[in-house]
Amino acid sequence: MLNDITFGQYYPGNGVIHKMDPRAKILFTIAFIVLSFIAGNAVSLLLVTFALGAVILLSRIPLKMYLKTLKPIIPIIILTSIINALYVSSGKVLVEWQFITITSGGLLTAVYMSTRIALLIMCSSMLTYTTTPTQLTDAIERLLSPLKYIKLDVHSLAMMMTIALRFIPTLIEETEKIMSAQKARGADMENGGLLKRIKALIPVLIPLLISSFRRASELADAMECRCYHGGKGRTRIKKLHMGLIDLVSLIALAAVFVGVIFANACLSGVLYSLFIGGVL
Amino acid sequence: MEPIIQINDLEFSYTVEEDATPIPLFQGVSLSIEKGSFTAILGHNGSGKSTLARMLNGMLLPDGGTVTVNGMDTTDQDSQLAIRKTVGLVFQNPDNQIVSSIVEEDVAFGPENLGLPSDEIRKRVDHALQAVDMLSYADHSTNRLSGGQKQRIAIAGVLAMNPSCLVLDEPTAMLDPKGRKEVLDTVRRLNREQGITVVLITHYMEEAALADRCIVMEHGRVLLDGTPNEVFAHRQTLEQTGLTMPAACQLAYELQDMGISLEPFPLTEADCIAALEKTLSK
Ligand SMILES: Nc1ncnc2c1ncn2[C@@H]1O[C@H](COP(=O)(O)OP(=O)(O)OP(=O)(O)O)[C@@H](O)[C@H]1O
Ligand SMILES: [Mg+2]
Repeated sequence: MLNDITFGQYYPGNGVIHKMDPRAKILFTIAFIVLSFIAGNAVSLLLVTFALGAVILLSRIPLKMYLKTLKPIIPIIILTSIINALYVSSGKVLVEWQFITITSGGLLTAVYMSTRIALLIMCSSMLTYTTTPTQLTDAIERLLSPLKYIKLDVHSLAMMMTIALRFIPTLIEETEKIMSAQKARGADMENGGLLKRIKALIPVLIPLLISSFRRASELADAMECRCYHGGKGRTRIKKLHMGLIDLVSLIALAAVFVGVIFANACLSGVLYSLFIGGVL
Repeated sequence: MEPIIQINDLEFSYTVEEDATPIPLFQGVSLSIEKGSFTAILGHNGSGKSTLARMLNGMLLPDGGTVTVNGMDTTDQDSQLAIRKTVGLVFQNPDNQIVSSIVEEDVAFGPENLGLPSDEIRKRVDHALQAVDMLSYADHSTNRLSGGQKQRIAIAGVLAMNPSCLVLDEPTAMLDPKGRKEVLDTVRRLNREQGITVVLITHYMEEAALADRCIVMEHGRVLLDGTPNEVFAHRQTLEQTGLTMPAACQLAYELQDMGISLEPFPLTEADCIAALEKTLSK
């Protein structure tokens, strides 16, 4: 059950996306997600989808890996689709039954929303597939470094993230071990009401917590033995470096941006009358 | 040979709670570890092996007496980094020593803390990974490795700081036989080929038999100290402390009880087979 979590796993590779500066990747990912929410009609949303498709191709990671990350959020997509379809009323009325009215505009919004959520997930998995956790936290450390001036310990924050990302799989594995151990002692984790199931988790969480403290103390010792003494004077094996790839992607991103704005402004009127008013 | 680590009249006690009377562990231990040597430290649970290991790089500081590394006193705050760089400590649980999710980034952690330039770090990481035979795993995830591989990465992480001495606290205790062999072979190779001083704390007598020198500890004291041959000759003392001998020694002693003596006295399985063949062919 817990093994399904693929989100946040690095996928070794040597493509252009892997070589991009992680800072640029983070900023572009954010821009891309914003863009997919700005995209207000089919054409601009398609444009964004194609752009992501191109990035996915360039990342040289099998499409299967991306689709896998969508699986856990299918219920969310379905739920938002239903809500959108039911609550948005514009365009033609398609179904009217008791208190349920489904309109073409509602359906369209549902499709748009689902696409956006899917884009958001795939885009962020692209980031985590092509960027190692350390690069990611390094980039965040550098991007947040202005916050040093308001006395925020950005280095410690980044180190905590590195360690958290490193230990998530370890703790998941341990949780499964403890669960099997408790099941072997007759614990019932799958049946009963919500309250009963939450109660059944207590004998799992307490050993997990205790062992995490032990791990933390051992890790702190090991880090100290390896000369860790905070962020002062620390260098990095991979220097962050904005290069040609990042410039080219910036231009590409800008082009998509302009395309989306253009499609939004010029086409929305035309499309609206075509799809909602006329055809449907 | 000159010593790399010198311990003089070491005294140390643990204070479990504030105000409680400290529990003394070491009361005047003196030892010296020679450059390039391979020393095994044996002893029962609670005999003070791990505490001693932590004394060697200044993770714990003596209450009395001195511990010096290459002439630097561990209580001297200014030499702290230099000492930790010289004496690398590897712990039992490989999972809890790995900081990063990617092999090479983890190995780079030590040199990064030393503030070395990127290309120097790169060189050291590749070198260290090569030394533990894990270079082809450089961009792999640290979570997907076997226990033995993880422990070798932990060793590489320490090696990347270019230490002259490696102290390993039961590095094989959590590994399966295959992983144990991988780690032990790596450590022996580092000692032989790169001249790195090794202090190996272990519960396995077979591992201790491979060392140049064995130290048996009990209740914070050095009980026996000498070559494996000398130490394993103290059959009674070892049996009293509850340490089991290597299987080869055990067999040799039992044969001795029956009036058959093996020559030369075997410590390892291979020696034992050779000695048996020699005795049988007579
Ligand atoms: N942090 C601590 N606080 C208090 N007492 C401790 C602490 N660590 C160890 N001790 C005590 O010091 C003694 C020596 O412990 P140490 O861990 O050095 O033994 P060891 O030889 O490494 O044992 P093992 O074979 O179990 O690893 C033990 O009696 C132990 O209870
Ligand atoms: Mg110990």
